[in-house]
Amino acid sequence: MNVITLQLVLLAFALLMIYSLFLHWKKKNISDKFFFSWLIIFVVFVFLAMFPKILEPLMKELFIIRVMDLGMIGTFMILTYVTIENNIKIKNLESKMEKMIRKIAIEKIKKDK
Amino acid sequence: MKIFVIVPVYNEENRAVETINKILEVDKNLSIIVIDDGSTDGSLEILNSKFKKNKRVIITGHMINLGKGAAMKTGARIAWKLGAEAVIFIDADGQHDPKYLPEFIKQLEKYPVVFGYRELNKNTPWIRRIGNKFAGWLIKTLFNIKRKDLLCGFLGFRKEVYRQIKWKSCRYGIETEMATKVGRNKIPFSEVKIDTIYIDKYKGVTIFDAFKILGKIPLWYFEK
Repeated sequence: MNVITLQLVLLAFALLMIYSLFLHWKKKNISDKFFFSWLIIFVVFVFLAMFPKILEPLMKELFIIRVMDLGMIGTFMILTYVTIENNIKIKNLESKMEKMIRKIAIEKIKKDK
Repeated sequence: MKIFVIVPVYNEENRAVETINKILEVDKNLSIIVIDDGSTDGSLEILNSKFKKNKRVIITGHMINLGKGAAMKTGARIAWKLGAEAVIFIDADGQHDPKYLPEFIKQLEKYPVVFGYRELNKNTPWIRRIGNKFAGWLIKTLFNIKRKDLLCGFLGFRKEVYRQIKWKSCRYGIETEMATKVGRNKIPFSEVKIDTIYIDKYKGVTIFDAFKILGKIPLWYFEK
């Protein structure tokens, strides 16, 4: 797979993600803020995929030879951040749900009395 | 002492009825709180139809399955609201014989926490024996508490120690977490030997759960 093909794959992936985001935004599943922040992220992603040379000064600073390596490092950092964020949110949700369900269970006894 | 027996139930339609009947027979003064943890087999309906009119049995349920730890916590909260001074937890699946309840009650008069334990014997699966030994050693090293059976859910405690031993685990590992808190807070405890009854091979703590519990032990060490 040469560079152009890889760029096309990345472009297709980004467009698909933007389309999916757009559908969820239209169905009002996600907020404007959420949609536009991810839209910006994917537009930047497309731009960097199309013009990777733009990253060369940064790569020189970081002693990274290939754009792919920089991409991998960036991806791992983003994924780690998203995973931690998701984990915290899920734990919070679980805790709120547990409290709510417990409250209902206790109130049910009061009603039955 | 006003004591409530708490029975968390999850998909145990017939066994739960049998367990509750046995508890009712063992001690005529004991009240029971049954917490159905979102069963999908109609356990709650069956229990309601059998015990709704019995004033010694209080039945309620979680709308969805939250886990045994969460059901135990709901049970304890209800018991404190009803003026309980102590609670005893017993599994609904029949692996804990209610005949030991008087012994638990007797011990609760002397100690704030009472744990049940099953003796490991040649019938115990070897992986369970090794796991229990290793977890026991880890708990002893980190929390300075020597327990004979870290996974036994037949246990009781007095209200005064609830704040100190309140558990965070929702699924399995509650008993182990409780033991770590008893050790950390240097709470006096006693142990009551109970029969080893393994009912269902595919229920209860699996090897994956055991590894999760083992992984959590060091984390509990760093918790406040």
